[in-house]
Amino acid sequence: MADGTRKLKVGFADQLRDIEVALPAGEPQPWDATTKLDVVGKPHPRIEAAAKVTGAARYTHDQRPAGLVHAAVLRCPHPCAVLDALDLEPARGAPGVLAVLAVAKPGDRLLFAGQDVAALAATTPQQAHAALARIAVRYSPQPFVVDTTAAMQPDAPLVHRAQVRERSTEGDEPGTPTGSSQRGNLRMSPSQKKGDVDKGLRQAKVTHEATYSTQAHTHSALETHSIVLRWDSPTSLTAWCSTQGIFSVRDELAEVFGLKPQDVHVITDYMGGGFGAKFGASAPGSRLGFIAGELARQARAPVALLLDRREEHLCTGNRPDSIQQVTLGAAADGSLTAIKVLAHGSGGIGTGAGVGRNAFAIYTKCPNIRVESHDVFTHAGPATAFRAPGHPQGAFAIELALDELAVKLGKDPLELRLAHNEHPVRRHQFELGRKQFDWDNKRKRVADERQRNTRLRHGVGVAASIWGDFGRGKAVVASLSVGRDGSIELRNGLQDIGGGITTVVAQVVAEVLRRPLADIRVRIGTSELGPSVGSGGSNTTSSVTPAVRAAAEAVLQQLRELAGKQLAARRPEDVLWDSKGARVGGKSIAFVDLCKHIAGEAIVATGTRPDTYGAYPSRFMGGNSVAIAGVQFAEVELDTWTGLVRATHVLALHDCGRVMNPLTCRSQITGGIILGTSYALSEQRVMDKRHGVMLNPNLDSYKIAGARDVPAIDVVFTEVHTGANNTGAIGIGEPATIPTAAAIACAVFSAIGTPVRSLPLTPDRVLAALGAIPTAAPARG
Amino acid sequence: MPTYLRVHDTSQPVCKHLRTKALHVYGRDTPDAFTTSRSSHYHCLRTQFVTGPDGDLSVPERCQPSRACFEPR
Repeated sequence: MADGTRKLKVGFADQLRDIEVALPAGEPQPWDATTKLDVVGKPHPRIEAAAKVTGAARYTHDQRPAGLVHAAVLRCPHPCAVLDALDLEPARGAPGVLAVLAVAKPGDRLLFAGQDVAALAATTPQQAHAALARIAVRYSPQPFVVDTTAAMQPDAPLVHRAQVRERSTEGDEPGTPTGSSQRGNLRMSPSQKKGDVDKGLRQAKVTHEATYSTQAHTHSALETHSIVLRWDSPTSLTAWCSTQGIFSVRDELAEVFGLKPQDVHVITDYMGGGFGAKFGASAPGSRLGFIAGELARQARAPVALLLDRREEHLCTGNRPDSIQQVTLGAAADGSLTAIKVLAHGSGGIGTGAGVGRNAFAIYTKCPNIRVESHDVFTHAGPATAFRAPGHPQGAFAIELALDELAVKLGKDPLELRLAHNEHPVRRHQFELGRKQFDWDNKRKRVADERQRNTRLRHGVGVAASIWGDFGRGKAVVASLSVGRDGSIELRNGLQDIGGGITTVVAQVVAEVLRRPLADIRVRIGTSELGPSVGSGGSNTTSSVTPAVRAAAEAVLQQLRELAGKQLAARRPEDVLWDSKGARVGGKSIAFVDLCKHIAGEAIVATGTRPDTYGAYPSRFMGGNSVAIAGVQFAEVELDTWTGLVRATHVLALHDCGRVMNPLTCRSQITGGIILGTSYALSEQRVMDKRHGVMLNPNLDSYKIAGARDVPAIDVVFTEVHTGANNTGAIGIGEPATIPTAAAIACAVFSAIGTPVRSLPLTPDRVLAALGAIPTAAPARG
Repeated sequence: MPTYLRVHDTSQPVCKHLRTKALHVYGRDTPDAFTTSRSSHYHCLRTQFVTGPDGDLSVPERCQPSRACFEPR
């Protein structure tokens, strides 16, 4: 079949239209707004649920290959130090020790408390940890800085001694192609620009300027970073790894140990959470794969390197903090004339302190926008991607700033947003949410409580999100087989990081083949099962489901041809396929009986997907993929005597293309909101500025939201048919967490009439905003 | 990531050992690998750390031919 154009009905709600998309040869007719589906789009419980809740599911931490030994890592206790001496011999003789490894060498300058120094493997974890104490090590502590503001000062101790000079770069958004450079601990970068912000501010009749800050947010997945590595021969190995990217682990281990990728077998049957930190065989601040592999070689035994919770907080990555100076300008009628954001943030010893796209790409009717974000190096664990990198912190600052401007303008903050948003789905979400949340009446109640100066207050806020469809073409090859016994098996080297993709791909196969969901066996989680994508950027469902559908349609084609022969069909289109099997006129054959006629053992087909071919109704940053819209309304309850804030309700309206499974999709959104609530109200890394160490690297004092902290959550799917790929699925994992903290902060502002411009919104900060206690500089780590 | 977001500067080679999450999510030709994305963490595959074998920061603009440890893609 040649390439061709197809007509699709796309859009959302009552705004549907016909478009034409150019499809490559062989691409199935995309599901669109007219498609009626029986399995996809229905709320199926996870097919792996029983395994997970009964404990049958084996995670990396559960793996016990024969002869397993246990690794432990000696970590630098100082925020900055030169390693003067390292002697592993005393540890080599410790009970149970089978291998020792120097990771740093004398003379190395160690950059954060938690950095790898040495490692060893022993028969039991207890012996391994006890043996660490025998390692003879001497450090010369060096000057350090862990506070972002202090690190920006010209006389601050330098984290990276060499000055990085950039040649001309574009940065990550269109901007002035001038070079930028490092000054001290500051790594300047080009800006995102539109129009002339300075002119826009000069033209403004009303301005608002304030500084907003957010905290460093450490990864706290339930399953810590872990790898179990076994050498199968001098040139091949098997690694069980808690990872978001099976092939990222494979490729890194292959390169580090000089192996062929096909001789590295990576397995992730189940994993207990990954929110951006679990790519590659290492953690962002610890060489896990290298350590496990070297120790396993020495010990001639499989090695388990399972980080404990303290290590997880110290060296596996974090969301950088931020200090954002936001300046807004508006004309007398309330139309924005300028948005300016100058952001600094610390990713510790690493980079990545951008502030996302909320300020630049949501309120696009503003003609003049400039967003600058610069890295500030500190002697703390390196940053890494963390669910919508940059976006929650950027959303907090701009959305709260807009609310403060709205007060100055005498405008409803929702109206201000509606007036400047150009995304039609987001407009629909704002308007739908306004009614469902009872925004107008709630605001009246809030204003009444403020006026009466009640002790207990309620507040309401709203914030938006933007994301893109980053589904990858040609990266996934799904393989589907139907055996002579009627068994159906889907295979792919994908990992399920908890979003439910295992169930969704089974639904796609069940839909196409018209077979019961329970009959679909899904085999994923190992690199032997075919190329796949890493689960990041919220691209899994959109990358994988079209490939699975393509494989299923190819298998169905073969089954129909077989049925045509069995039933003596005159033309291929005479074969009707349904949940029972095939029919031609008055003759029929059941599915299981048809399969008995398969020549050979099975029908097998592979499928992949092309690059994204549709982006209706709005393109992400003007490019080739869909801009995903989202809006959240939040209600809080606040005690003005104690400063305690409770998020009581969040209404989330999100677009993720076609909702493949409402149950798992709702679960993703709920999880994103819980994370956002936790980020808003309690989580923060606390650094001791005098000693340069993290004070709360544990789940007791690093406060993650518990069951009683979770608000009532209502989810509205604003399903959009985009024409992007043959299933219409796009992503939701990250968009769902972007606006939550911002909406909660806006709600707090509405409750007390004073903004709390620093996350998390802890009682001390609320009381300081109320003037009830002396104001202190916000503690950020 | 859509490539229009930044100049995919093929005249600016990048060391083959430079790694970032975007490579595993968006593919080996992601612009993030060639010019710095403000929200990306980078590390060197040789050291599996934010600094390379010479102790300097590993970022696209620094992992260039002028650097002693540079190896072309």
